[in-house]
Amino acid sequence: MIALLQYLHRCFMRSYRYGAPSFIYIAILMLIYSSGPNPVMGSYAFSSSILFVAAAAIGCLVMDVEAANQEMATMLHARSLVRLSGAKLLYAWIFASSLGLFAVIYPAVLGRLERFPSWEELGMASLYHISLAGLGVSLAGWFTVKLFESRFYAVLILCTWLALAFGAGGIGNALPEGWSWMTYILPPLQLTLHALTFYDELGTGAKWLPVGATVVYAAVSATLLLWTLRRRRLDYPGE
Amino acid sequence: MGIEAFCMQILNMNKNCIKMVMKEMIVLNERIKKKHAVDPGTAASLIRLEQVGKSYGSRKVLSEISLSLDRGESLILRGGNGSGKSTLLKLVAGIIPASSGHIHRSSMQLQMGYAPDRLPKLRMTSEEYLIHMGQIAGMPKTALTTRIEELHELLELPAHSPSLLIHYSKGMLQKVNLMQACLLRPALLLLDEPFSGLDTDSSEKLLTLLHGLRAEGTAVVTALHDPLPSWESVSTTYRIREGQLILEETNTDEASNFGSVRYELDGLLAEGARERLAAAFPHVDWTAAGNAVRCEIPSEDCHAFMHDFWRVEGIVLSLKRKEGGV
Repeated sequence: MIALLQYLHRCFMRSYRYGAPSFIYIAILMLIYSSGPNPVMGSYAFSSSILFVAAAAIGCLVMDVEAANQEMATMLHARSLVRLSGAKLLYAWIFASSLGLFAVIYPAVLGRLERFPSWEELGMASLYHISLAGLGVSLAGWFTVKLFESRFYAVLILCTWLALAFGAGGIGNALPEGWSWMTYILPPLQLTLHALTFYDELGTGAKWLPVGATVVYAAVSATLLLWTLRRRRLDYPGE
Repeated sequence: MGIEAFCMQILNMNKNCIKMVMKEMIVLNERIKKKHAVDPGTAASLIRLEQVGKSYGSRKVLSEISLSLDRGESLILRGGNGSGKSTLLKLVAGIIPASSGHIHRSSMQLQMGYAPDRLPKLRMTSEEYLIHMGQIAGMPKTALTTRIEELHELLELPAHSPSLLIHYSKGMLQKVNLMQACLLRPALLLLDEPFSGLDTDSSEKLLTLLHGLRAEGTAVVTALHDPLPSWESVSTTYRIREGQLILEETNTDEASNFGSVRYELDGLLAEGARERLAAAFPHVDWTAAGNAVRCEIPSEDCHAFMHDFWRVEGIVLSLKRKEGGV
């Protein structure tokens, strides 16, 4: 697995695909924190929601970092498509998480927040960012050319799915009586944003619930994705 | 009949019985041997395809393909563009699933090498790329370094070149592609158009590599377009036509194959000596400019011709073996 991660890191770095999502994310952070002071957990709510989108973009880019022919050769060397795809998801998660940690540390160190966050706040904010990075990556894995004939439609559907995740609360309220359970199908982004926004008012359980829900959702999504890829192998729908 | 005579008769009967049983066993043994000779698709097979088909939507690419491959066996796939050669290679490699039928592998951990029809241009040097592929395959570092240098030397590519693969020519990329497939000395090697883009010398080097791997027990499946007599002579050739795999009756007769091999000699030879040699070897084609000559020598004449060439004090500048397809 380490050999696969090293290989993917070299491929991703030298492809410069990381450029657009990373620089846009960092530029947004710099813009937001150019003026201050900002509320501690409210700022982290914003940066984690943007990270969710950036992680999805990174996930898409890492999953398709290899050309089809190269992926076939790598798969045979790795002796398993699940191992290769799992390594890609893991690498994308690590990469997106490092952006998340930057988003937590940068405003605190540079004093752009109204006060220096407590260690608990820093730890929980890091966990929220890391879990949302995993959620974004696990969703993005589905919307690549491996499962969609057209990259355009894959990205379009991913964007729709991300937008639905952001609007889950409103969708739940708009649904008829007895249908609000449908929002549980959507990614639990709102739980994290709610916890960060009302952090000081919540008990311990309510603070940890979004982390647990997000990790479980991401794990289920990633497991189903790997199972689907194992069945389909590299039978690209475009062929 | 005395007891002694009775015992002797019983003994004789037993002898006959034993002889008959032994005869039966020999016949049975011969039958078993013959069965294995004509049907290699047994437990010894590296891989066995049973009625395998592949469809993309309503388009049937391959249908009812049955095939088995043993260690050291070589198989050539021929067919027009889009006939399904690459698809069959991918099915054998397990890269794509079959739509119907079964594929049996001798082991779940069967070591396979696969060279796709072309390698994408990566931003890595060939050494970096091969180290990554070897490490992913779990090769020990020392063995990997040695193997990478060995393959670079064999295919005449600089091992420590700082050039990235994006700057490589088609032929150079193809060499790297073949190297990654052969890194682990796989039990089954699958090559999609391996000679595409290679020059004559490199093709000969690749042939040497393939013959060597085959001799070590690697089964090789190659999708080919161009004729390649020396590889065809040790391979079973199939043609894919309308999704079906058809055994092609290739002329594997050694004599006819022998005739397609020629030697190209560049050398220096006096004019008088040239006339004498031309008369003695009428099947040799000559091109001459002053004392410089180029001779195309049929394989069967080569030994005698070279003997006489040196006897008349000819100077050899180079001698190359040439095959019909290369």
